Amino acid sequence: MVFRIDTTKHVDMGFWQSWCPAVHAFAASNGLPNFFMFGEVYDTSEALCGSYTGTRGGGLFLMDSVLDYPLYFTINSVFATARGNTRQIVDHYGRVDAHYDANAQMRLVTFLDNHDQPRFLSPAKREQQHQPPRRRAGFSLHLARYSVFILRHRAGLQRQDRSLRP
Amino acid sequence: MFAGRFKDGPAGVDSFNLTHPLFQLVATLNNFRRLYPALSLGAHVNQWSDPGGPGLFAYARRLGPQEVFVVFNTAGSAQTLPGRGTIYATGVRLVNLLDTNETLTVAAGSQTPPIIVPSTTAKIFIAQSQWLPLDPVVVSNSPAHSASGVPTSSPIILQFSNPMNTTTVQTAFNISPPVKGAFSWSPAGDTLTFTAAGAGLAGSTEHHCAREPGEGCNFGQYDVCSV
Repeated sequence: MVFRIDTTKHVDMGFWQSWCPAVHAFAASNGLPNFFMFGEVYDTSEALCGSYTGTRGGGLFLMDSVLDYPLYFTINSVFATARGNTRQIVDHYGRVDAHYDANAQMRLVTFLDNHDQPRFLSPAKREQQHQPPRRRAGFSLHLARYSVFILRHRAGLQRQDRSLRP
Repeated sequence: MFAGRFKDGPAGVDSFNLTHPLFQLVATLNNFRRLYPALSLGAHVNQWSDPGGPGLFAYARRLGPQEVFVVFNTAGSAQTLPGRGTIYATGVRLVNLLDTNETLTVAAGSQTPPIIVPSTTAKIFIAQSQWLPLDPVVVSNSPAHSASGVPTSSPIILQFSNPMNTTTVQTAFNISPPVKGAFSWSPAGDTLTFTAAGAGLAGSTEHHCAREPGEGCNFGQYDVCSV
């Protein structure tokens, strides 16, 4: 069982300092000592996203992990729009090592698209691609690093629709 | 099972074609992850990146005696990856998981030889001695997924990626609404043809075929013409 915590960055840190330990303790007392909680921090900054992992925000242990939104933006630059350099991937992982809880670094929740974002293969992005096979290379990145990869249902679709919530 | 029935789903789009090339690519990558523990538990080692613009990115995943070496090229032209260090000894033969006809030999000093990577493609290497076969999948089917106006007399044809155990596939084959019929196989044992008897296929037909024990996959859902 897993909790995905929506809109984490829009709630005061003080709340998470109280709520997260309470949930972990309750889960542990009910036979789930490894109960996994990850936050949605919709942001490009590893420093901000990392502050919600473990004790990196100061004080008590918060989330076990977060969605890897900084990597999402990097993937768009490197693969979808084809404008960015590939060094950004290395730089991202360097900042992850600097700012994230040690365990969270190895279980970031990675994704290519989600219900708030256009599909990885959507026309808006595809138009900017020099060649359609670029997306094939993009998928190969999901074998990198330790991660909990969320392959969105129908990621293979060339759609822009953000409203679907299957 | 859900084909075309999502709330607010788009009209006229086949969202559930399991034989679409991109679906099959993702399935293949996930199959690699199941086959090679280094891809799920191995240490990540950056091997190459280009700071100046679109280009090469390479990394290795290492776990014990296993290394999976991944390189991809986001540039608009072919690029050559210079030799990089590997855990494999000089002389070890490597194979590209995405094209097993391509092999490399580890060069002196446990270095990969220069690797040419065409534009917007990826290569994934592992020691040939550690290579494992992929699970078989259906690579094409007829009638096509989500086809309409399919004649009742149409045979259902499934082409697999490998020769199959015909008995287990026929046992797993399921068609709804149920109709009786006969199975036949290609000489190579990789293509199954089901021909319905009597009045043929009926109504809105679905057929299923298990790829693994206990797993059913919906490969076809058709609108069949009335007789």
